[in-house]
Amino acid sequence: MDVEFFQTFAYLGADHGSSWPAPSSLCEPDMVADTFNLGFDQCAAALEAGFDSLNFAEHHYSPKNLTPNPIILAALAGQRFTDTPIGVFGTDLPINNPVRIAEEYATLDNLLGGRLRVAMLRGTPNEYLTYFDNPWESRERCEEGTLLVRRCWTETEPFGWEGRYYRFRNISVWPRVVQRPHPRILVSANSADGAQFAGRHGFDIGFSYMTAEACRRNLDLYHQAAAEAGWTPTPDNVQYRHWVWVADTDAEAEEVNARHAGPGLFGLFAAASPETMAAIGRCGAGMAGVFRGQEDLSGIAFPDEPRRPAPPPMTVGPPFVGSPDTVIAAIAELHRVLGPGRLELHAGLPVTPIPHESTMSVLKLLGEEVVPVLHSEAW
Amino acid sequence: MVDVTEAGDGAPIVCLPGAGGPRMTRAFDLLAERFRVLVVELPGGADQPDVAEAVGALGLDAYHLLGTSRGAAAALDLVTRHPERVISLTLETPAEVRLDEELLARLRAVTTRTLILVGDSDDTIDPTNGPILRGAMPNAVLLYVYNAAHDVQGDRPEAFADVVGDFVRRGMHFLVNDADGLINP
Repeated sequence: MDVEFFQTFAYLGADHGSSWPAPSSLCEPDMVADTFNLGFDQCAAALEAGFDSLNFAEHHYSPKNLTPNPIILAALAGQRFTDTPIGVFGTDLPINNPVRIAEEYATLDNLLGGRLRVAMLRGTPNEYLTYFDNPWESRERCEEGTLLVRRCWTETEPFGWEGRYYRFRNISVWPRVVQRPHPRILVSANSADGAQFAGRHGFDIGFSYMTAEACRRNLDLYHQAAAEAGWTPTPDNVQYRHWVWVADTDAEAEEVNARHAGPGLFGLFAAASPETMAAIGRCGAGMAGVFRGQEDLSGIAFPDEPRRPAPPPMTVGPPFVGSPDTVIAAIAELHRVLGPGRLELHAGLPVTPIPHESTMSVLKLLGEEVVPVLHSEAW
Repeated sequence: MVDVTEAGDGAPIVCLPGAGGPRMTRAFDLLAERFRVLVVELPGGADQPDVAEAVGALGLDAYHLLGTSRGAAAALDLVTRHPERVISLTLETPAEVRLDEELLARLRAVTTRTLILVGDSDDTIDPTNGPILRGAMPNAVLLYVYNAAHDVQGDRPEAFADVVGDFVRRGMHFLVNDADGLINP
C-alpha cells in the first residue's frame, strides 16, 4: 500500500475557534510564513518517514487550510522535493473555470516533469458560498468540467466546447501536459454518482473520512461501472483519506485526542451565526440533489431550515488514533473491507490546530512503526 | 401621527430615510413591485426616541427595517430596543453612527439578520463603519456596491433593489446562488 501525506497547511497562529468564513483581520503574516515554512518541514519529515507522495487540496476563507490555490503550493513542493510524486486532491472544479484549471495543471505537470496526480472534486458545502456558485448544479458541472479538462489535455488542435454548463469557442492549452495521455484524474466516490462517473470514464476514485462499510457500497458501484465500460480497476485506483494520530501508547494518544477534541469534520465549515450555518446546510442539501423548491422567508424571523427531505448524512468514521499497533489494526480492518492501494493520511486531529512539534513527533513515530508495515507485501 | 409614503404589497419594509428626507426613489419603486414599502418621515429628523414611537405608530407586528445614511443610526437604535419586531435589518451607507463601546456591546447581542450596504466609492462616511459593524454584529453581512457613492439607491437603483429584495425574501440564504446556469439542456 502506498502511504500519502496530506498537508493542509493549517494556520499555526492563535486559534480563534471554528467560524467560516473567518475574518482575515485574525491572520498575522508572520504566522502565515511560519505555517508555510514549518509545513514544508513537515513534508520533509513525512518523506523521511517513508511517505510516498505529498498531497494538497483546495479550501477557502479559513485558517484550517491555507490553500485556496493548492497548485501554487504543489509547485513549490515540487521544486523542493525533486523526486516526490505530488498530488492535488483536489480542485473544487465547479467553482473554477475548467479551462483555466486545465492550463494551470498542464503548466504544473511540466514543472514537475510528470509527477502530478490531480483530483476534480465538488468541494465542501461552504465552498459554494465562496464565489457564489449554484450548489444544485455542482454534480453536473463537476462531471462536465472534468471531461472538459481531460479534453483540454488530450486535444491537439484548437477546439470549442458547447456544453450544458460551459461554453467555449476557442481552446488550445499551452503548455501541453507531459504525461500521456494525461495526468491521472481522481474523482470523489463519497457519493454513488461520483463512483459511477469515475468507473464509466476510467478515473481513479478517492474516499474521505467515511466508514469503510459506507465506502464499500460505492466501491462496488465503481467496479460495476468500470466493468460496463470495459476496464478493471486495481487497488492503485483507489485512495482513502483520513486523519491519523499515533503515540507510544493508546492512553497517550487518546489523551491528546480528548484534549484537542474539536468540532469534528463538520467544524471545517461551522459558521458564526445559525442562519449562515443554515445557508451552508442548504448548499449541502443542494449538492445532495434535494429539490430547491420555492423560497420566500420574508415573513419569517428565523427560518427553521431545511423543511425539505434531508439528504442522507455522510457516515463519518473515526480517525486512526492510538498506539502504532492500534492504528495498524484499524488500517488493517479498513484494508480488509475496502482494499485501497493508497492511503492518504493527515497527521493531526479533525480540524483542531496541532502544534508543529506534535505533528513532527507523530510523523517520526509513523515512520518508525507504521509506514514500514503498510509498505510490506502483506498490504 | 406619523407621515408615511407607501407603495406596493407584500412583506412590509419600513424605510428610515437619510438627510434627503422621505421620498419614493426609483430603488424603492422597484422594491415596491414585490414588497410593501413604507418610507417614514421621522419627527424631529432621526432623533431616536421619536423613531421608535413613529414606527410603532404604524401598527405593524413585525417588519423589515431599512435605514439609510443617518437613518441607519436610527435603525440600529430601534433594533436594539425592539429586536422582536424586526425581521431583517438593512443598513444603507450607515452614517452618523457613534460606534462607541456602549453601542457595540448592544450590537453584539443583536441576532437579527443584517445586511450592511456600502457604496464602494462612498467618501462621505467613515470607511471603517461597515467593517466595524460587520465585526460586531453576529448575524451580519457586509456588501459593497460597485460604482456607487453615498447614494447607493440613486447610483445603482436596480442593484440596490435586487440585493435588498433578495435579502428580504431569502434572509441569509441570499448567500446561496440558486440562479440557473444551464446554457442548454
